[in-house]
Parts: sequence; C-alpha cells; structure tokens
Amino acid sequence: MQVLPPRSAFVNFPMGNNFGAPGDVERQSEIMRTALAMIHETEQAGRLIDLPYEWSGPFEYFTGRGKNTAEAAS
Amino acid sequence: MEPIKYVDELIAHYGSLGFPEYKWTVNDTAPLHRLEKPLSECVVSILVSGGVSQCSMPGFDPDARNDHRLDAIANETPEDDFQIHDSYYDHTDAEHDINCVFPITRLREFADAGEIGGVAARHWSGFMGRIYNRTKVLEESAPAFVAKLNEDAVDILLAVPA
Repeated sequence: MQVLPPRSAFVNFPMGNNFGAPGDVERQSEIMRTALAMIHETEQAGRLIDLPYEWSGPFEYFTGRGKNTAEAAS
Repeated sequence: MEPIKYVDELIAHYGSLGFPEYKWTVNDTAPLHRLEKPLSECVVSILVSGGVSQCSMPGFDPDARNDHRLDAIANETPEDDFQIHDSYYDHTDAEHDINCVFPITRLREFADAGEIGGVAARHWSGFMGRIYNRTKVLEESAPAFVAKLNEDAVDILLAVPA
C-alpha cells in the first residue's frame, strides 16, 4: 500500500472488473455495499480490506491484449 | 489465485520498454474524516480513472501520460452512453456493462432503496493513464476537484482505479 487512501477495499478481480462481471448485479451491489460500509467501520486511517471473492478463472497482468484476442489465441 | 503484484509488474513491463523506473509516491499517513451522519443521509459521487467518457465527448487518449483531464458526468446519464479509451487495462467487459468500473446504476439503486441519502449531481472521470507530475496533482488538480465535490455537497467519494 503506497498511496494510502483513508479507506480502501481490494478485490482480486482483473483490473476493469472492479465490481465484478457484466450483468452480475448482485455481486456489483455487494462490493459497493462493502466499500460504503467502510465509511463508518474504519477506525484507523489507511485501512485496507481484502474482499473474499474469487474470479471465475486465472488472469494476468494486462499488457495490451484484450480478452477476445486472448481467447482467440488460446 | 494470488493477487497480481502490480507494482512489480509495472516496473518490469515499463522497464522492458526502455522507461526509467517509476518513482512511486509512498504516503506514510492518511487522513480520516469521520462522518457523523448515517449512510442513509450521505450524498455519494463516483470517480473513475479508466478512460470513461460520454459518447458526445472526445475519447480519452488511450496511451495518456500526464493527462489531468477530468470530465463531469451528470448523474442521470444513461448507462449505455459511454465509451472507453484506455490502453492500460482490459475494458472488454466494462464496454458491455459500464457498472463493472463505473457503477452508476448500482448507486442509483442504492439511493432509490434508501441505503444512501442520494447520488451527487455529478460523477467524475479522469486522471487516467500514467501521471508523473505529482506536484501538479497535489497543488492544482486535486484541490480543484475537491472544490467541485464541495459544490455538490458530496459526503463520500467512491474512487475506482482502472
């Protein structure tokens, strides 16, 4: 943690899927609800929580190749 | 799976492209403002840094460096009125559902359900790409942004990096 916002929630999803998969209203809402709850739950500045969700498959650091391209190449 | 170590990956990736090592900002302390009122009375705005712009606006420079552009996005903007230009992440899913990175519809639902007090008049998209001139951020862009949030009486800013 380097920037150190007052409160932050990490979700181990691909960058660009911060709130989950397209159309997954339930998961998107859960993540936002958890993040907003930190407003009152945080006692110490700089708190980081790890959300317990698992992405549906492996993913890599993005260097310019889109999902569609990756699928086509695999 | 274990989280990606983004700092290490960034150093390796841009080093391989011939860039000098990035000098990361490291903050030892953070401010904490405690809100006295409940969430159900708080006004919430969203900032996204993922190259999201309204279709009527020019797209962001997908390879931007030191781009301090910050678009105001009216709360009532339809969720299908966005485009994404950003080479630094895979936005395939977000193009299908903007809520993946910019959850404006979800936030409206929270307001309708009374979970939050309301949605701010404006959301924000900007600070995308790589920004090296941190003094300009600290002394100019960030204070100007805070002034806009105060104009809209925002209590909570949900900042989404991408």
